[in-house]
Amino acid sequence: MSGRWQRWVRFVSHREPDTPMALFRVAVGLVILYTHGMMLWTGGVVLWEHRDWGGIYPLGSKQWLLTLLGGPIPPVVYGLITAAIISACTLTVGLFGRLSALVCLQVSMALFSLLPAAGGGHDRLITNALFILVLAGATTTLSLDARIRTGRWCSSTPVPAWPRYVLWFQLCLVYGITGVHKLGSSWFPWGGYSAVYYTLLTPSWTRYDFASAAWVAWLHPLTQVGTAVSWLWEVSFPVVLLWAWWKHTAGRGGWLRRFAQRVDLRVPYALIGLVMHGSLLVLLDLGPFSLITLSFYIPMWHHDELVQRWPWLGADAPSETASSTPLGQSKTLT
Amino acid sequence: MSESSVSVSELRLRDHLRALFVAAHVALITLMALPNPRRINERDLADPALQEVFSDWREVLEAAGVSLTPEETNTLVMSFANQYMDARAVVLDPVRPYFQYTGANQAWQMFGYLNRTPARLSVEVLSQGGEWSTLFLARDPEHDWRRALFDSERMRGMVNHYSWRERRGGFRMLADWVSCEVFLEEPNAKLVRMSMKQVQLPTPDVLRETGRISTRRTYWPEFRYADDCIWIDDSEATE
Repeated sequence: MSGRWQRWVRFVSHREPDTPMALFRVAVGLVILYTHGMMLWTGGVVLWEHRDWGGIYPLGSKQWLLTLLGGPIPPVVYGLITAAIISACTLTVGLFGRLSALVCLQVSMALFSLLPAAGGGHDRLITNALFILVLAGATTTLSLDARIRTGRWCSSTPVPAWPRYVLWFQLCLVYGITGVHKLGSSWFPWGGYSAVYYTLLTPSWTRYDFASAAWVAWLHPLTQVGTAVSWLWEVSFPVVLLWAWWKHTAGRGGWLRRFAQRVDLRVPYALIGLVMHGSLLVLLDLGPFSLITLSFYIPMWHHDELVQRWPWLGADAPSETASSTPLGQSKTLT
Repeated sequence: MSESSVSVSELRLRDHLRALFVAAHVALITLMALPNPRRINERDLADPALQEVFSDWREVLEAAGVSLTPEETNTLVMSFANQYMDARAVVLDPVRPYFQYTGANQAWQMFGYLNRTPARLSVEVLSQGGEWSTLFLARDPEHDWRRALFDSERMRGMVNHYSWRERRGGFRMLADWVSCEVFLEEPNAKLVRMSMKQVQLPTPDVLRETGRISTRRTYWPEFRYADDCIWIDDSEATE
């Protein structure tokens, strides 16, 4: 047990350059800007205002920040949205380190708590992402903080790698559990693999008008393929985490570890994910769901892999890279 | 261990504490993410969409040699779901503050099972001249009053509950708010009717043949007169 614990401690203590987490920070910041910006743009703020103050519903959030500020009255709600947008901006550009993520997290939690019934899994993905960014900071590179501190935009200064591992784990957890939840027969052969077809016709989510709905019927075979693939892909996504472990422990031998050295399982899973979320983005209105989920893909790749593909990410970086055999590093990134 | 760059001699108390925290965090988010079927009561079991799921699974079990009646299925599901939720509460209730203050809450479910008879939000107005006209009908470009708001993702999220015939009280409140907005914009409006227009999603063959999705029935009609609106004087409200 002691040996296992020591291995775990050493695994969690591993350090590596901050590039994937910095890119994740930028992506999350932009998604939050989009989320709150759309509330202002569409007039949806009325859902976050109390009925007594011009809103629709009697909101009863007990979130500590809202309670402290006096509840969901318009000045508080607009103040919180402004704070969320400002902190999302500073998060995106990498200013004020963890403080930006902390402010953005607490303010977003306050806003999302106002009418949880109107939100969705994307709200929780956003707050989960922000919590990890509070712990990680992620401003060592690709940030104004780095520029101010070192005079360079990029840095290979090693930071704890565990936040990246946790995000990767979280992505696998989200997909795996979401797949398990899909119990409706429409996801299976005996339901005709009809889930995607019917989802595309659901008025609450579909992006197009009913008058032009007939095209969905003509695409029915394609929606059946989409249903079968997306369920299998979701429920089996945790295998990507196993792949990372097999790759990480190559020295222990076995055919699975040899397989993991040859095949990069992240690539097919990420490609299917891109197609699936791209389709969702075009055909359904699920808010920032696809964008925030895709943000979680970034931490699947190590700094070295990203720099190998996009060298400018490592431009001007001081040569103090501390990676040895980091989790998820692959020889090829095609 | 060859996988890590940190040697045993370099490990400090801080490293152990960090490892403890990460292990606890991962364990907690995993437990929290485990399927959450909610507590189920007789009313939930009456949901036609849920009964359709049960029916399909009964057929699958039947093919595997396991036979269950609808009543047995209901009893089995309710008993399992409620016992599971009790056990879940025992484990997770003590750590809920962690999720509450960190935002690390987990509850993942998307299109678990589908509603094949969803409904569209409709807002109609009766003019002083006695003519009804449609101001808004979801997914209809010809009736697009306040479409930006009604099409916004969070508003769709709320209307989706009404499409499942959930949250009737909230629907009435939305009708209050919508009707007052209509009366503010339409001086000739005499009466506002907000309702849900239920559709039967057609099979691909039917949709190919007809090219349209027809309304099946209307439910939850809410009528509001201008007198129903309580006009708030801004100067008083801010005092």
